[in-house]
Amino acid sequence: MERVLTGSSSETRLAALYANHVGAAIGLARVLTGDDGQAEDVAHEAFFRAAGRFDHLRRPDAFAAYLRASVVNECRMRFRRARLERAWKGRQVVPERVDPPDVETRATLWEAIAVLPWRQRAALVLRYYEDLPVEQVALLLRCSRRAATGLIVRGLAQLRAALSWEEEP
Amino acid sequence: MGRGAVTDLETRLQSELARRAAISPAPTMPPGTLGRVRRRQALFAGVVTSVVIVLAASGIGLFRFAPSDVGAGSQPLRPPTSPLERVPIGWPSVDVLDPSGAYPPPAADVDAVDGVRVLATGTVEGYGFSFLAWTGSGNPADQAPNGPCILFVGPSPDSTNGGGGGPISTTCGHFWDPPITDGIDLIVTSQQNRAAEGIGATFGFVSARVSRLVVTLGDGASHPIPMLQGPDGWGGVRAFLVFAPADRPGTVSALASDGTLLARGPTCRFRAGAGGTCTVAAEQVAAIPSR
Repeated sequence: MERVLTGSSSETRLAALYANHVGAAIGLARVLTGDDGQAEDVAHEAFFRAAGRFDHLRRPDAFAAYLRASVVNECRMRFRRARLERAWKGRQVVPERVDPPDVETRATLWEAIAVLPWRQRAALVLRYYEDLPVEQVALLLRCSRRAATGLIVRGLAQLRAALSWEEEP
Repeated sequence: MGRGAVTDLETRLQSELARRAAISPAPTMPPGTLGRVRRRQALFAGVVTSVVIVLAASGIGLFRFAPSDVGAGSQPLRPPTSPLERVPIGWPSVDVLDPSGAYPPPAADVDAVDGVRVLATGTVEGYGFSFLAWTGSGNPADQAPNGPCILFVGPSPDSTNGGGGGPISTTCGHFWDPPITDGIDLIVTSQQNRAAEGIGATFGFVSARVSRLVVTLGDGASHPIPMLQGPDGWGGVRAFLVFAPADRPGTVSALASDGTLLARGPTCRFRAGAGGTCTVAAEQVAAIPSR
């Protein structure tokens, strides 16, 4: 239920926006990043971005969509940075050999989601958590509808493969 | 991608994501949020304003400094308001301005029976000029009728007073011998100001039977010259004015409606550093029909 705050000052209106939307933004950031601390940072940063662009003044009803897009962008940037950092670190040390996990220690569903490539994970989250149509997923991920469908299908296939042991009779 | 056949995995994925997201009750806005949002809004507004200013400045820059060989010579990129402004590429650019800024001729120079009309005033390559017309009174002594008169002043380095300060020449076609009203089809006069070297004005009269007037330069290219309607009392005579390139001699040709050459006259070519007014007798090619 949307919280309605009385008063007309900027701070009151902003507080109402914050109260109505930031909780959901943190939830989305949490499933996109898999990290509670980072999720709050992402959601707050996205809120500042969305509110700072006056979009809520032009179309108050669309603020949730603007905020969602900001969250996805912020996560994308963080994943990109993290990937660069990993690549840099990878060049600094000789990677240790990692044995593939045996059947008994295979991932749970959440762990399987966590290791998906960022775009596949984002596509699945937007599709199955935000319940967005594929067109919207494609828009947020800045790709074609066909590419978004591919991301979802491949993401599901990877999850299925990771969880296949659970599904065996 | 349809959601018709939802698999077990998809259902589990939905519930797992919802569980992990675990939307908590709406958090309280941290202190300082308003200030931070305001700063972002100020930054955003500043960036948008800067972009708009840069775009506007670029637009103005493009408008003002467009290459001179685009469109009509080096004229400003606005539709010509006068036929005098339609000049070929490479010719002096002409700006016709509001008639109220025209040179006011001394009363002694004008013997008008019905006021003075401003045919054109403005600048040519930034040099001021005015082209005025009136119906001059005839000579009562020999019962000469009233007739067409023109005054050209300029080009003047001062672009603000309609050519004032530049050379002035007045021509009355009905006092010409033979007169433009019934004895000749073309009178051509040229004028140049030493202080505005390279800008030559060619002007004059054409008779009522002239349908088309062209100037042909040394390279053989012909360009139409607009004919300007004078005041009542001119009996069909019209005036003309053209600023052809001063360094290229040319010929002004007056043609009938069927293309017959009626008369032609050369434009004057001034020596470098020279100025003044020059009238060369036009050659009457086609006979004037007798009355």
